[in-house]
Amino acid sequence: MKFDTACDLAAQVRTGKILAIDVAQAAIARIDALDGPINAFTDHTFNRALMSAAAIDRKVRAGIDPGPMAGVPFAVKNLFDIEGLVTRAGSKIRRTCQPAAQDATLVAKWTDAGGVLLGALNMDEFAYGLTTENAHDGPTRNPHDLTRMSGGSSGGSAAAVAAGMVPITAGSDTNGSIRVPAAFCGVFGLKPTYGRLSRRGAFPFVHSFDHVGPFARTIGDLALAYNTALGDDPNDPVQSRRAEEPIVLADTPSIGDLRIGILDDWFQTNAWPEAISAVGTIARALQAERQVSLARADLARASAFIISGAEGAMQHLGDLRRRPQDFDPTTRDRLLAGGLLPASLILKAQRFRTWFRAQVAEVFKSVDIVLAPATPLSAPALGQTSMRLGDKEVLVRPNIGIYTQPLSFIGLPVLVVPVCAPGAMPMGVQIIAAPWREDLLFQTAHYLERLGITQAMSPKSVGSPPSQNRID
Amino acid sequence: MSVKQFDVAAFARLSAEAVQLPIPPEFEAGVIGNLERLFELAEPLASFVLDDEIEPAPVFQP
Repeated sequence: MKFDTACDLAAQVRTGKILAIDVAQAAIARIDALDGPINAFTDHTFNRALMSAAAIDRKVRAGIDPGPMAGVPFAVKNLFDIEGLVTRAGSKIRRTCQPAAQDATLVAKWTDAGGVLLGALNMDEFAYGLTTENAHDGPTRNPHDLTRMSGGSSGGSAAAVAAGMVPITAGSDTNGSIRVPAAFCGVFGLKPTYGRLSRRGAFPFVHSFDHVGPFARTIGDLALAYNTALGDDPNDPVQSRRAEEPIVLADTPSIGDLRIGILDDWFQTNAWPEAISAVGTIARALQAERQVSLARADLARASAFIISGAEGAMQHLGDLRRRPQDFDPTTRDRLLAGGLLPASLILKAQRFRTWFRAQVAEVFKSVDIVLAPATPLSAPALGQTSMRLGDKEVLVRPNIGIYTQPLSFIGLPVLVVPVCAPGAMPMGVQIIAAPWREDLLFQTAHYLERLGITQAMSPKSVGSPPSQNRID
Repeated sequence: MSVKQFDVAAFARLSAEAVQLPIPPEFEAGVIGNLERLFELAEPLASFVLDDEIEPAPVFQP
């Protein structure tokens, strides 16, 4: 099955070869046809989509450029504010809140660039999870195998792109919530540097680690989504005041003299053969052999756990006191536990973040890129609670993110590329750079894509969706 | 002190009282289980020695 890329759609809409309204109607038909068993969408904004698309077509007819995402269908995790919709953030508790008065910054930027919003997507409650097994809205199922998890917490965002319902979605990542579902669903996902993109209007989970970022089926589309999301936002208190530094993809991608290493120790110890194999595939293509260590990644992960529990609990303290029964059970117990942690541990974890950042900065003096698995194994079955890691049987939920948590802990930019062995479930490899070097991530991933080493696969469990209604 | 050496359940009850975060009895086992996991993870962090000069890095621009 061939999917239209966002870049192609935008180019054709901008030049009047196809109508945005036809693209929007085709996206609506695909969502209607495909989403039933997958359960990626929790809210549809089809009326808004048709009105946006009609406005774009009017601009094109009037000779006005509608923007780089002209007519591109997109959808966002349901923690992003969408004007007129209640921002549920995966919860039951927030469903009685007032609808959002305005779009989140990222939604507004994509809309201003000509993007057409189709709806909001399923997630773990309050983004506290890596499975998207949501007690209120049901699980989002993996389009490659409907009996397996999509990953989370941005599971709807990854599954909607993997199934070809929309070419671009947005998610958030605090401990792995973009990277894990991208890996499980076999699509590209970008967690930019902490503070790179505005989080305004994205319902918070852990202030210290929350990031927002895009999913896509190609590197060109991922770059389009990222570039249009850039820009200074005075309403985000943690956004860096750096220049925008948009990505420019080379016509002939190369990795030049990039120094590329493979993370060892913590990032290999408990990996299943499929994870080691996926990293090996990418490393061979990049001719990367050097093993690189991040000292005390175990403590980075522990610190991320502690800060997430504590800050998450503070975010929801009122509701935890008043109505704990209304939380998703898996979220509730962890938030309540996080609310009881002593300050000495939380502050030690915050101080350790400074130490770990300094160690990693030293590492990036001798390498430009490092590689690691995104997850220790491919998507577990829905409802699976335990798994084998090394010689231990461990709980699934707290351990899917062992390779993602230490990296978001210090805000490193990471791009997950899919690796799909024949007949196997997708795996994801994290391409990791020093802070603010998203350019190197895209350079490396673009090179791999051009080599044919990485690509989003067409899911077997998805039937043939209605194709685009072309007028040319 | 290792997690094995102290009563996490008793800590949970007292701490919940101190921060006025009551734990309904039906949720107690799940909360204590999570708290035990957090303390186990925290053990090596708690004993890891950091220089006095190392500060946290909050993002706050007055």
